[in-house]
Amino acid sequence: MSTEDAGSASPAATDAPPETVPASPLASAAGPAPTVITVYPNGPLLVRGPFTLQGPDQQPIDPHRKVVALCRCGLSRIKPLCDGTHVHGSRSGDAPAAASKPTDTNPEGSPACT
Amino acid sequence: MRLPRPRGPISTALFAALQQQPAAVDTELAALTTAAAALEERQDARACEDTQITLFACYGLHYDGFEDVEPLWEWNPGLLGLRAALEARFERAFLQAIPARPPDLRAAGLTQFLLDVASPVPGSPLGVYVNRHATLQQFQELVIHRSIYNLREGDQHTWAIPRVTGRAKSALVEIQADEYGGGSPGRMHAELFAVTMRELDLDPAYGAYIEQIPAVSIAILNLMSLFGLHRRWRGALLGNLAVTEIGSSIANRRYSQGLTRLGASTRARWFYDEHIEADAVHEQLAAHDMCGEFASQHPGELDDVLTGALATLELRRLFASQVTAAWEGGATSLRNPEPA
Repeated sequence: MSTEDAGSASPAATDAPPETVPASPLASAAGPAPTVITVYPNGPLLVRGPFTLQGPDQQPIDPHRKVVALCRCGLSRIKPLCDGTHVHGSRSGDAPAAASKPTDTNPEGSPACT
Repeated sequence: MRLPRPRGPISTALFAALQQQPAAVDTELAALTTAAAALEERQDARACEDTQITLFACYGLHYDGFEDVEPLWEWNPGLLGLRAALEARFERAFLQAIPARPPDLRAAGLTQFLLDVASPVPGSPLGVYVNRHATLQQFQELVIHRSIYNLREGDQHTWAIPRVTGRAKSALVEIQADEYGGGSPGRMHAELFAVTMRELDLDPAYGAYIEQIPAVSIAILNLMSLFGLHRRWRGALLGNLAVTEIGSSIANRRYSQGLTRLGASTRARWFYDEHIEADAVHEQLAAHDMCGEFASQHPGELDDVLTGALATLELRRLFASQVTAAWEGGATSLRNPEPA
């Protein structure tokens, strides 16, 4: 395990939020865009539409993009945003843990980093 | 940029032709195409300098072009014929390198397969090396290898937008909008990469280091261009994008931490830090909404998505093994071109 995964040593105690899915975006096709929160299996919550993200101090957090991913496994180092670390977690999602990880097919991570 | 220097007989002949008006050299190109098609498969075309620099020049005409090449060359039939002969070699090479895929994989299982196959696992050699051991010079080498892609980041996958429909298209557009900084000046990922290059005392002009960049690094870009410029490979282009996004947050954190260790500035790390956040979104969109939905719409093209994903991963493996082998041997991973 690489050093950057050491953050998992102090897991947050909270469970994943209830997996409520909002009304269909089609419901208000003629009005302003609704805010839609989508649960990704064993992954984050993706938020689309008008929203404001605030920290515990009520200060806004600049999400830098229109669609954001919110951590729901507690392992992210940039909470409340997701940083992809859930793949290293054992309790990060919805389904029982996979039987096994494949071999190291991605030898350097994603170098192209789009 | 100007045309790079040739690296073998094919590129020598083509680059000489490109200095002329297209109509003047049609017969020469026909002979060159015949020669290219008859090349023996003695070498992995993915690592063949002559093949990759020639494809780089052919594809470059469809992006920004070259200052010293007449734009009419872009659709010259003779040039396209030569390109096709080299693409056939390249295709044979990357198809041959792909490992066996799960025989029973259906569209419904594609998303999870992609997430599994492309997620970095502990011990990824190049990422860990850069994180813990790379010198500043080695980090600069890595940036140079990737500069021909990252200074044009996004453009290769934009080719897919008019070629797909429905949710796959809207997911792709969500990703691409982010690649281009949501339209905000200075926030395009390609521009952030230029900031990193300047902060590391490198020249961000496109192609400034092309002579030092070896075939395999050029092949990574050429593979995207090949998939992007042929509609029949649209599924492969989506697969390429998916495995580029999946696991990228973790990889970029490793690089950002590596730069911190080397004492680089916050601005130098901006590109990598941005990708930690952005790619955590993109990997979900790419795996579920783009590839998953595309395969549901077009189950007959599931295999193409897999081909694109696996060929990309294998090419990256080749790249990583060459770079780490050079570094562990105390050598540079870049080419040492002969003086002009």
